[in-house]
Amino acid sequence: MKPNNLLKVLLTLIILFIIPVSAQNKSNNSNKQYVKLEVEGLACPFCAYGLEKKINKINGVKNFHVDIKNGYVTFNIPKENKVDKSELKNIVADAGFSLKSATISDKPLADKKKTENKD
Amino acid sequence: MKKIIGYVFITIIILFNVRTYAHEPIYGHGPHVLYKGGFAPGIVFNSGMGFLETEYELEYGLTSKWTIGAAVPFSNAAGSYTTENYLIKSKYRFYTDFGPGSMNEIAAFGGYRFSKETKGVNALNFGITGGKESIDWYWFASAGYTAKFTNANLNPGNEINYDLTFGYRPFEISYYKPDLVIFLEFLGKYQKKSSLNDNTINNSGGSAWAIAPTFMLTYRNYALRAGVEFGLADNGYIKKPNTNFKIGIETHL
Repeated sequence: MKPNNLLKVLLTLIILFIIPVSAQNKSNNSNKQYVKLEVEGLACPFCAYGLEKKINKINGVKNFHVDIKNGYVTFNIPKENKVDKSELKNIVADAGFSLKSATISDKPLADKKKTENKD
Repeated sequence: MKKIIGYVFITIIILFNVRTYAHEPIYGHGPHVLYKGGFAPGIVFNSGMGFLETEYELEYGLTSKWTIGAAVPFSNAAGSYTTENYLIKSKYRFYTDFGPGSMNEIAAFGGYRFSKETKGVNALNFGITGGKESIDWYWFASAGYTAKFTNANLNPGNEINYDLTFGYRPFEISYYKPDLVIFLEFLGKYQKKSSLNDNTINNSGGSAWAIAPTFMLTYRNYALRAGVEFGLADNGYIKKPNTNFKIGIETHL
């Protein structure tokens, strides 16, 4: 195969696969709500499990992440599953903590490089 | 008479060696409670006066401030593995002051130990506990009173118990890694004089103190707690605790 033909094949593959995947990701992102909760009283991992359990009961929760050192949790939910701040406040209170602030956004909120690593 | 004294002795040991709660010192008390709807089953192994006791515990978070629990101990003290006196207990956290990475708490606790013997000792224990928990260090302080009730002729003296605990987290905290907290617990008790047929026994009662280096190792919802208690000093007619160890395994569901 000539170099020019090889280049054409590669370009075709990029157009066929990478662009649609990218578009799909954009579509998925637009269907998500990103939630960040600043939680006061988070002082031990053993206790934070209750918070994870409570938040995971929210319909459609994905990518739950807790950063005890910096005192917040992040997760995302499908846009159609609305949660309001008062509901989030009750969930955090039931877990034994206090909600300082809640941010709900269509865009990702936490810079994971600065947070606790799950690995 | 010897049999009654034996039962009283075993009851007292069990009563004051098993008082653990979720996420707190293994010998002393702490104000922490379970989250609402949470279950915490656990097993505690305790080496007593030459015998091994195993206690099965279950706690439940009625609300985010109120935890109830029950425990069934087994021991081989009598030469065979038998159940000992059952315990029901409760703790209500009535004060919280939340901050970034820290929590000040005060809770009231209570429990009742049912004797399985007709002439055994039932015991009502209640008190208050408070302290601070943070991502770097801990402290807890507690005081409680134990009233004892029996149909036997020998009535052991009621007790005041108190403890002070300091804790330190030597490694950086993370939810996704094992977490270690090292504790140093100071434990004390004052026992009033006992009575026999309503007559005070003069050579009874006194005070005793102990120290216990302990630790808590957790990973997510699993916890291992262990430590060794050393008797420090005694005064009057009661003896400081013999060196003993305690190991507890617990999970939150």
